[in-house]
Amino acid sequence: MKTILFVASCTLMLVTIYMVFMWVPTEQNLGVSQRIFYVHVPLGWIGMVSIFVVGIASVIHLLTKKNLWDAIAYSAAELGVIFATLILITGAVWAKPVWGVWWSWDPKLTTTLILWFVYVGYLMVRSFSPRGSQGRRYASVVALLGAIDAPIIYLASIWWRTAHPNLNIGPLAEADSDLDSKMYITFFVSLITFTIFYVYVMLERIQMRKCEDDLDEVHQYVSLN
Amino acid sequence: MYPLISRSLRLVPFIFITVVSMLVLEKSFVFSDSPLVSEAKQNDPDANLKYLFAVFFLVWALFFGYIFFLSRRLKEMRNEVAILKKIISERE
Repeated sequence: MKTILFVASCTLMLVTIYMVFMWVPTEQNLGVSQRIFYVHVPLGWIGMVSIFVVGIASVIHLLTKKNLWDAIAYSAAELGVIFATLILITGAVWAKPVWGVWWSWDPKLTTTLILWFVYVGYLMVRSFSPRGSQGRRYASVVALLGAIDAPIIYLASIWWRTAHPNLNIGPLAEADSDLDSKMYITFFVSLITFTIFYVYVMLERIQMRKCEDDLDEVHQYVSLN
Repeated sequence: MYPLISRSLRLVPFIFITVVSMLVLEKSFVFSDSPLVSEAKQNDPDANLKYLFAVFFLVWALFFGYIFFLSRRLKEMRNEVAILKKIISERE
């Protein structure tokens, strides 16, 4: 299963790079910088989905006490930091040629930065809190705060006046969206590629996290006896 | 406290790459800000190509950085397993 996901993500990454650089037409108003959209939006999608994974897995772990769910929550949070960091960086690199600044305190950008702090906060709570269920309980509260923030990020461009481009994709996208069919295809290929890559790395990280937990238990056993 | 600092230090190379990339982009943006260059930029559809390359470079740098972190962690775990095996065999 993991081999299939690895091969699929590598192949689709190459296809995505070809489509973004060679195949898709250049947008008339924004020029080449619009192509950053094909990376930035899938990263944003995964960054937001990941916090839901963290929240749901944390709650299920608290209810069932199964370590697998905790491993899923921790792995999703760690990957979430990576993807949230990339959302902010790719957004800043897009903003510089289009807005003339790397960063503005726009509602969408600010709520995304809050999501990044939530991810980092989750991992910090896990690092500082005592071993066992107490730290996991505290961290799950942080994850639930992040899960509240994710829909706010999506709806920020509807609720507030924002310089961020309007929604072109998704259930609340504008009806008169002028995206070319090639742009849609490239976007969805990129979205599928990054999602497969995320699932693959996630499975690897979950397995590693379980090994880390087992190793900690053996350490405790050896130190006690 | 120590594990968090140690983990944070692993992010230093990536933060360094990000800051340097942004400074390079910023510098080229400022130097090419004369009216003639700006006008040429507006007519040139590929004027912002460097930003697109920067995005792909940073995305892949962070992905590879994370995979490098995972491989280091795996190596540490193998070492820990070897040490534990040694401790257990010495006790027996």
